[in-house]
Amino acid sequence: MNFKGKSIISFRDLKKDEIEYILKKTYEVKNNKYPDALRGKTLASLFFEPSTRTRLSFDSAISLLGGKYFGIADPSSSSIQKGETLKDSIKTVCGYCDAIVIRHPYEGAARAASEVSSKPVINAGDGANQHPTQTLLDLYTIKEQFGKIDGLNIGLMGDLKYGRTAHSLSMALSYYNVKITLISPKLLRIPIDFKNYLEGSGIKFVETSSIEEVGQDLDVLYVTRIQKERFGDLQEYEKVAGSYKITEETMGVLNPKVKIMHPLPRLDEIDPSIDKLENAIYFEQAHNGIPVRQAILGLVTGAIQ
Amino acid sequence: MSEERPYRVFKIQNGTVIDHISSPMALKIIDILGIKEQGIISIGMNFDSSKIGKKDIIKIENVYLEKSHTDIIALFSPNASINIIKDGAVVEKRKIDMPEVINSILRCPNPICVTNNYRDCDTKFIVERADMNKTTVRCYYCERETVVTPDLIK
Repeated sequence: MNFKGKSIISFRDLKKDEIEYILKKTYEVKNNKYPDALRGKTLASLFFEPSTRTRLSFDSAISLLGGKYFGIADPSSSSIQKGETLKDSIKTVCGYCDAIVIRHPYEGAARAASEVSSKPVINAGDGANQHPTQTLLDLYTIKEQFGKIDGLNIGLMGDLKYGRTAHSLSMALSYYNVKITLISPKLLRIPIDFKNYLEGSGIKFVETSSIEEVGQDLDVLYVTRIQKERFGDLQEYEKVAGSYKITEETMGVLNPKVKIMHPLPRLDEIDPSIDKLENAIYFEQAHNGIPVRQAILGLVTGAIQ
Repeated sequence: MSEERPYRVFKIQNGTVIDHISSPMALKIIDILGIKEQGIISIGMNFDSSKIGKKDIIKIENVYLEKSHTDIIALFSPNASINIIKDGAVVEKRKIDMPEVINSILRCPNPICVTNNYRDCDTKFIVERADMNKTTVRCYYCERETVVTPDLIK
């Protein structure tokens, strides 16, 4: 499979065998099959919007395999402030590097960038739209834990209306033979577009407001943050957020073997007392950002075949 | 009034006739086809039609529109038909088909779509679902789905 020169923009562009190939390469990278594979490669890391984890993880990913990076971490200091168009910025920067990573507040920015770039572009988040490397590390983490993805019952809980990671992960899971359990307050249910997509894909999914009803059957519980700003009434927020919080007490309604994931940063949706349990794998999940991004960088630059 | 009424929008010898346009879309369709400057155009609006209730008709003299150019009409008037006239006779009659991709014509309703924020990012939509009354498109850039309405024409 040849990824050289290919941009990674959206899950819509990835076929199942391509996803599986990236996961396989991630496993190999994590097991040190490609030390120094990115030596001589340079990554342009263009963050037009603040990010901590994703930016650090890309920068670290390339450095650990011997490559270099440069870029912008603060959009206020860049030429975007001088009115340069995104396409002009990209046409310039692609002459300085082997691949571009971009995060941008405008949805579709990574796609527009990839159209004018002579080097592969990796989308590190475009508004509320796509963040494919996050989804790939989510899939990798599930596969690493269970040895498979097929056959699992995967719960997505929290803000399913606005949460980008939940949308993207549910689309990706539709390639697999899994059951998706969508757990959210009625106000924050998954948008109709995504429901249409899931229905069209033929995947089994259920929607519920109650973790108690479904907790015993879950293999994975993927928790996302419920955002305060979505609620006009703060009292309503407190009530809703409280009932979607994972505490030691909530663990009682869950399958004792459930694995709890979270894209981070968390606020108070998972109590820190959960961190010590074997169920909690969200920090391992975050660490998997490194080998996933190394595999992707290696594949698109041609350093890993 | 019946369709047989001897009105007729001025008969043309050569050119393209777009018939069975859902009223009152004729002017919008001239806009999206970008044919305003292309010779003499006659427009008839609000004729009775047994097929679609009220219809508009457009006749463009001495211009032969290709199928790839006219399929965009399907977005607003899926029943429209095209007649190509040469020397006063109909030499080609055709239906329009929904295009798979729509470039430039529509604007994305998502204010934070990249196409609404940089002057050099033009719009592109993928047609997801279409039936007689409703066409759903997905923005190629921000990936949001939207039902096409006339106010989305740029």
